[in-house]
Amino acid sequence: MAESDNTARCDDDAAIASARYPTSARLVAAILRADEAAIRQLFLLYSPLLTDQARLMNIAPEDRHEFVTTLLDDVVLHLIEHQASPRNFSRYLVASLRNRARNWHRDSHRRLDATERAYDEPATSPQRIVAECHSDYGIRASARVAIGSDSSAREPIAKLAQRLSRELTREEQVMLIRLGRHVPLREVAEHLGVAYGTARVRLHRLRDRLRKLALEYTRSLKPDERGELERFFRRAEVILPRAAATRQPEKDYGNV
Amino acid sequence: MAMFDDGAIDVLMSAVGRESESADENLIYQDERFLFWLANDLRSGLDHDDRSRDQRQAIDFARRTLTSLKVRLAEKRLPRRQLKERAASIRATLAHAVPAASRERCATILDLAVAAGGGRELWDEPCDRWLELPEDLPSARYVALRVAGDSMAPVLGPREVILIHLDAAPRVDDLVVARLPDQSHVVKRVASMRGSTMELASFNPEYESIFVAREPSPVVGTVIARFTRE
Repeated sequence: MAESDNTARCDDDAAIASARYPTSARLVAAILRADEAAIRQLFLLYSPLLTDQARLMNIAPEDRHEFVTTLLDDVVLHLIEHQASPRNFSRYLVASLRNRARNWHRDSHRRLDATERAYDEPATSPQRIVAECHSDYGIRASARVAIGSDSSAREPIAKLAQRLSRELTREEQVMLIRLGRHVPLREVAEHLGVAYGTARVRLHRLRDRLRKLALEYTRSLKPDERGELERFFRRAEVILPRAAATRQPEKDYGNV
Repeated sequence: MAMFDDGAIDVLMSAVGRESESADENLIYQDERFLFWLANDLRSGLDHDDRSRDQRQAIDFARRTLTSLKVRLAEKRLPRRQLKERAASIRATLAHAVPAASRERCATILDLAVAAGGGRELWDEPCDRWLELPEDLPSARYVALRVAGDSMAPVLGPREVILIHLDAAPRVDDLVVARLPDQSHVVKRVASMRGSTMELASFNPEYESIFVAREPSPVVGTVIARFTRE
């Protein structure tokens, strides 16, 4: 488990969408009593978030449900058996999932390496039988997606994000992540502990900064990489109206 | 460059924000309030079908998790011991053999189909094998039974020997041997005792719970140990 804190949080003011368990502390307290309704609620509240996290951690779509369910199962059993109340329950769950995903990828890479070695050294490898039974194509097709390897359209954005993580301040990155998830600016201001007006000003500055950094970055790209970035924007222009129709993000951060 | 107008910057902010989010060691992402917001937002974005599916999965999940918990509890409470058996000093029915075996710190072993239920009267069964009681067990009236069926898997497997304390009062979560109205005997977990009804549950989810009247008590005894030959 990534983070285990045995002190229950008393000032747990972060509301979750449940009338029966208005705070995560109450939800955890009910889980510690092995309350079936609380365990159901835990699944309902957190499985979408954790499934989304599993997606971000490149867990294959067909494995995500089992991955999340197994994690939640282990977390519940761990909490009950150790009577532990994590201080920040959402963080605890997400950190646990990320740890597990890292281990999952590491083990997948090891398995894949062992299988590939079996091709090179069929006489000495314990994986010889597997290698003999599968085609090279089949083994590669069944391999997990590695973290970081992604479609070419996302690659320039990933590189830009890496560069920005070095250039932007922590607060600017916090804003960027939240706005990427369409969190309304008023709530972003609350998360940052600043007034709404201040958040608007900071957003305006962030946009200017981002524009400048992105421009510099684009100039440093090779022509083919620049082409990929342009394709990304062309695609985005097609996708954006549809995304706006379904999610209806608050637009007040668009033009400050 | 023309591509970085306001619209392009919005797209870029969104894309870069998401990219930063998936960065592996991103401490910025570990914000409890944001995660709450995200959990609720993702949940509210589900359509009716997804919600119905989630409800079904949540029910299954809670049941399976609680069963796993009970299995772990039972595994802890009933460590596997080595089976030491010998020929009975006297050949008699169970009713007569129990006191004699108890005097020699033994328990009679019956090869009764406990979990599957054979409809036979327990006390009239002849028994010719005794189990030597471990030294840490206090003197009491015990019977050892060989389990049949897989309803209590993974805690109790077929042919596993369990030791029953005949005079123990059952509590919730105890494993008990109970006599059913059809005269068969089963080994189950006491899942609940509400009002005049007792719920006897299996660990194997393929088996339904059995509801029996608490009075007269259907419980023959409580399982206090399990034994294997290895």
